[in-house]
Amino acid sequence: MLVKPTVNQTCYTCHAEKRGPFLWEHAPVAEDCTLCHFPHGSSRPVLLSKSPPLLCQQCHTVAGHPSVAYTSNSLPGRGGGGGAFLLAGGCVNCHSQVHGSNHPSGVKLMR
Amino acid sequence: MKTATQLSLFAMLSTLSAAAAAADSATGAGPAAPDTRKWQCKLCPIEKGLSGTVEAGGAYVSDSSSKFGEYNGLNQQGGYFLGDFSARYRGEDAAYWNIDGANLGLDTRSLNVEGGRQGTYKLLLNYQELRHFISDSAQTPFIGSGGSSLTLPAGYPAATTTAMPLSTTLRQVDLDMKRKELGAGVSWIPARAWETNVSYRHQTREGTLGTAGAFFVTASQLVKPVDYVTDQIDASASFTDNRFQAKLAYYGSNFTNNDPSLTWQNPFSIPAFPAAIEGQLALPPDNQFHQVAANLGYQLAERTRATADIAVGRGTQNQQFLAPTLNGTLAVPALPRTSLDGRVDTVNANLAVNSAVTDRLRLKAAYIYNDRDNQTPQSTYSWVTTDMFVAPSQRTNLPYSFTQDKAQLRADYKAAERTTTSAGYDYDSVKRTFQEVNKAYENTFWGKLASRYLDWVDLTLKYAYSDRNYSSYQPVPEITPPENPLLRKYNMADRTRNSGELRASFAATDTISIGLQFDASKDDYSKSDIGLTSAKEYNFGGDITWMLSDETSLHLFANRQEIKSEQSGSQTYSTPDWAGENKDTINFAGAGVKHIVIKDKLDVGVDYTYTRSKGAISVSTAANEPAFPDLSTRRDSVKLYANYHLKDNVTLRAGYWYERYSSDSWAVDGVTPSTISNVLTFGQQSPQYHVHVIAMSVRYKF
Repeated sequence: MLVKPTVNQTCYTCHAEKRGPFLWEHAPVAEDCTLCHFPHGSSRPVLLSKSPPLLCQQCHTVAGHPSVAYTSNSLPGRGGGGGAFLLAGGCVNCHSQVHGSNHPSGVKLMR
Repeated sequence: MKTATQLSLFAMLSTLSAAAAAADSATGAGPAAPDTRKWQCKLCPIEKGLSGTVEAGGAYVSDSSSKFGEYNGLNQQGGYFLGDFSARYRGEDAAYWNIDGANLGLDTRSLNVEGGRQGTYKLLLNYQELRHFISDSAQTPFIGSGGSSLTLPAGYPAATTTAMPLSTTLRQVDLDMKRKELGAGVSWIPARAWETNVSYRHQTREGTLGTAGAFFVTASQLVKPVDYVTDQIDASASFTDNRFQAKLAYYGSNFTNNDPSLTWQNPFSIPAFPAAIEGQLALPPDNQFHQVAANLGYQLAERTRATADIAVGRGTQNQQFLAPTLNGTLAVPALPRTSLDGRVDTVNANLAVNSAVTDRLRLKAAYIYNDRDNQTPQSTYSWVTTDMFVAPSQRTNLPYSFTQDKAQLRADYKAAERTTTSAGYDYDSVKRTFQEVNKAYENTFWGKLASRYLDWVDLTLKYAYSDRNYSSYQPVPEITPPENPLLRKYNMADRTRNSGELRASFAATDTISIGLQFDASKDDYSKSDIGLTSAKEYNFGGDITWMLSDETSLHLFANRQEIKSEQSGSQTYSTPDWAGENKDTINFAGAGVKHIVIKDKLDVGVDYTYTRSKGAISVSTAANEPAFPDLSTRRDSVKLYANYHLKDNVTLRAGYWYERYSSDSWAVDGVTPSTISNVLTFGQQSPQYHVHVIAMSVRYKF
C-alpha cells in the first residue's frame, strides 16, 4: 500500500540524495531505511530508532573502539574517557557519511 | 397485433444494441455507451458559477523557538499574515476549475489549481513550500557556513578544543531547510474507458544541515550546504473494462546536487601529520532513476480475480570522483577509474489471485518479488586515511544486491453471520551478496478473528508467529578488520517473532463510541551471542467520542507505548562481556470539547494534548556502571478557538494556542564545543520553549 513498490523507493521520492548508488555503500541503507529510522515519528533526532553508539554497535563489533562498552562514565565530568564516541553525534562525529560515500577515500565513511 | 408490434420493437431494439455492442467491441470498449444528450439532472442539481471562501487575518507569536516552529514556520517572535482561500467554478458542459491556497503568509504556503472539463480532461498546477527548522543553538568557529568551503580565523589550529580560541571565534549558526515544489500535470480521456496522465514536479531543497569531518582521532562538527534539485516525471495510460483493467506507467527522477563537496580546514594540529590541514567530504552525487510499471487486473471468473503489479527500473550514478586527498605531500597511486559508472537494476513484482470460492470462503495466493541487482563495476582503490597517509592495504568496492522472494497464502472463512476467521502462511526469503548471510528465510503463520457478534461491539483479534533462519553466517573476507565471529547482524540473524493485536470498538449508546487497541510483539534473537539479542514492544490505547448534547461533543484519547531492546558486546573480541539496554516509554493523552454556544451564531472549542516520552539507556560491564540519565521530552499543548458568524457569509475567527516543551538528552546537554578535547562540537542544547500564539481572522464566503 506504499506510494512506490518498496519502502526505500518511497523514501527516495523526497530523499533522492540517498539513492546512490555510491562507491562505498552502507549495506543496511541500501536494503531498508527502517532498519535505523522510524518514519512515522521518533523521540530521537533524525527519526532514529536508537541512539548511537548502541544503534551502530548492534552490527559493528570489530576489535578496537567499535566494541568498547561506552558507559555513563564517559559522560562529561564523570572522569571516564571516550566522550568522542558517545556525545554529540557519537559514531557519526567521525563516520559522518553514514548513508554511503562516493569519495575514493571514503572506505570508512569518513570522507 | 400488439404482441407482433412488441416483438418487432424488441427485435429492433436488440438489433440496435447488438450493433452498438459490435461497434464497441470492435474498439474493445465493452458494453454500448448510452445516449445522454437528452438527459437532465433533476434530483441533485449542480450549482453553476463561482463560489468559495477567502480568509485573511494575523497571528502573533510570543517567543522565538526553532523547535516550536520546526515544521509550522512560526519560529520567530512577532506577527504573521494568515491567508487562505478556495474558489470553485462550474460552467456549461461540465467545465470547471478549483483553486485552493493555504497558509499564504507562512513558509508552509501552498497553492493548488485544477481545471478542465469533467469526463474529458483536466489540468493541474500546484506549488508547495515546506520548512524544517532544525537548530537555533549551534555554534561554530568556521567562516563560510552554508557554503562549500569552511575556513578558520586566526588562532587555529590547536592541539585540543580547550586550547582553541573558542570564546572569541565562536559564532551562532542556524540549521534549517526549505523545500519548494512546483508541479504541473494534465489528465485526459482520449476514448471511452481510457485515461492518460502526465505530470512533472520540480523540487528544490536549500539550507544547511549538520555533518562532521575527522582527521584520525580528532573531529569537528561542520555545517554542510544543501542545494538539491529533484525533477520527477510520471506518465501513465490506463484502460478499464468489465473484465480487464490495465495501467502502464513511467516514472523518471533526476537528482542534482549543486554542491559536490564540502572542504574544511582542520582546526586540530596533528604533529605527526603536519600536512593534514584540509579535508574534503563528498556530498551526495547526482543520480537518475527510471522505472516502467504495469498494473493489471483480470476477472478470471465471476468470483476470481487476478492482479499483477510489475515495475522494472534502473538507477545510475556517474559523477566524477573527487581527488583521494587534498594533502599534496602524499604520493597516491592513480585511481582505477575517474567515476563510478554505478548502475542498479530493480524489479518489483506483486502477483495475486483472489477468489470467493464459496459464499463463505475466500482464498488468496500471492507471490512477491523484489530485486535490487547492483551492476556497479568493482575496482580496487588505493585510498588515503583522512588526508594523513596512504592506507597500507587497498580496498575493493562491494556493490550490494538483494533479492526477495515471498509467497503468501490466505483463507478467510465466514464462520457465522457476523464473524470471520482468517488464517495464513507466508514464506519470505532474502538473498544478499557480499554479506554474512547468503540466504535467510522466514516462515510466518497467522490467524485472525473479526466479529460483530453483538450489535454494538466490533472486535478484531490477530496473532502471528514467525521463524527466521539463515543458510550460514560467514564473515565477509573483503571487510577488514573482521567482525567478532560471534556477532549476528539482526537483519539477517535467526529470529523468532510473536506478535498480536486487538482492536475493539463499542458503539456503547447513540451518543458514545469507544475504541480500544492493543498491539504487542516480541523478537527473540536467542541464537545471537553478540549484537541485538531481544526486542519487544507494546502499544495500548483508547479513545472516546461523546455527543453530550446536540450542541456539545467531547473526545478523549490516551496511549502508552513501550519499546525495549537488549544487546551484547565484547570488549575482548570474544564472548560477551557487556550488555546494553534500551527502554523507550511514550505516553500521550488528550481531550477536547466543541460547543455551540448560540445556534448558527457562535461555536467554541478547546483541545488539550499531553505528551511525555522517556528513553532509559544502560550500558554495563561486570563493574555494573549506573544507567544513563533518562532522555526525555515533555510537551503540553492547549488550543482554544471561537467562530462567530457575523452574517450568513461572514465569520470572525479567533484562536489562542499555548504550548510548552522541554527535553533532556545526555548526548548534548552540558556538551559545549570544548567539552570533548578531541571533538569540536556545535554545543547544541536540548530545546525548551513556552510559546503563546494569538490568531484572528475574517472568513468571507461567496
